Amino acid sequence: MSSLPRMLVPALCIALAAALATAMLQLPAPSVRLAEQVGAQLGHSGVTHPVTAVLLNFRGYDTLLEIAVLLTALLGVLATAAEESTAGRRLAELPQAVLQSMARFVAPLMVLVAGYLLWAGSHQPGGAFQAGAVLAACAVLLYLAGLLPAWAAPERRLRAGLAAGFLVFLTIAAAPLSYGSLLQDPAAFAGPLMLLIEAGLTLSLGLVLAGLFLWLPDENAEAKK
Amino acid sequence: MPDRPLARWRKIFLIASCARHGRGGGAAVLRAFILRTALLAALWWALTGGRPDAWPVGAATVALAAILSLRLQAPASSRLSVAASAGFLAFFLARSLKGGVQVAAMAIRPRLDLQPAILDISLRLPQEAERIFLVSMLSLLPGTLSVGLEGQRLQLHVLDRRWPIEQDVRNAEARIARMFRVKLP
Repeated sequence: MSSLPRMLVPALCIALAAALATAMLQLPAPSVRLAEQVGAQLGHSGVTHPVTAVLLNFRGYDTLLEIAVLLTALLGVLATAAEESTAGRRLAELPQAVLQSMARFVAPLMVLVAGYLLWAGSHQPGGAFQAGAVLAACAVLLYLAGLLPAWAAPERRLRAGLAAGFLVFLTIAAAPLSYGSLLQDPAAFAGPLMLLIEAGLTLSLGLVLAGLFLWLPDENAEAKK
Repeated sequence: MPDRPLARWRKIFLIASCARHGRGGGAAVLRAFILRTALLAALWWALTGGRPDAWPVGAATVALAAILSLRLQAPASSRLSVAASAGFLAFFLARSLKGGVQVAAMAIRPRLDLQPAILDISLRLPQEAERIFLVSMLSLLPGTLSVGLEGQRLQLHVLDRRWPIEQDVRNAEARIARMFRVKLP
């Protein structure tokens, strides 16, 4: 390589960095200070952690639609999953003894951690999405260890569990319509209501995310044929 | 997951009756449930920094975790020997220290002199749970790593085949047997 590109590249890098820095420094101050607004209203949200307050209260509409989207995604998977109900009941192939014994030990601890994340969401980083992800990971681990069969066509209880989070959230969001507007939670009950929504979301998110994995082994089995 | 209408009651019944099909009696299940609940509650207490407002969520979580634990793992029938357990703990700490010093000495030597190998060892411990305990312990010790366990056959990766590894494994195996009160053939 000649010496010209070798010098040109660092020079261009420095120029780009300088341009970016200048652009950043010339940004106008934001006209709306969201962090301060959230901080000022935090007392009415029912929780003390700003992220949870935004997700479940101030911008609850977003989160309501997010869980609806996840549920719809799972319905899509179900619609394309294999029809035969026997295929889904099988366990993972070749469960390993060491993995299995570890899963027996770790799974209850994962449930405990999920509960902790759910509780922590009200005042520190945590919340239903993280807790649901841990629950889903727990189900996947149990499947991989050969302790939980892949899921067949969903029976009624599983369907109820999948929809519970969305339904609970929707009910609580729609209840204030009788006297006000959608999602206008009464500040007095905001804390317990948040917890109820988060508990429902945790359960449903765990099942939905686990379902995205546990209904797919059929697909993998078919690909192998 | 059973999908009959009475599945929930069957599940509760299953927990109560798993001892009958398993090893212990109903009292063993109750004892295991209380013990595991207490351990999980202690863990919850530690996780939440002892905050009293965490207990409503905590009680439900601990109960769920304890029920899952009982479903996944029936209460053990064997009772540990306390004296042998203490002896094993001392043995484990001493072996960890020795292994750590050995591996550290190898790492700082200017010329790397390794003879890594995978040993095939046939274990004598009768129960799988005890074998898994041994295998996990060997993985924790510096210098050895369990690669595979199929039935009685253990594949153990060692950093240096000149060390008397097999003898160490036999030694640990005998101590674990004493701890679980089982006889080696």
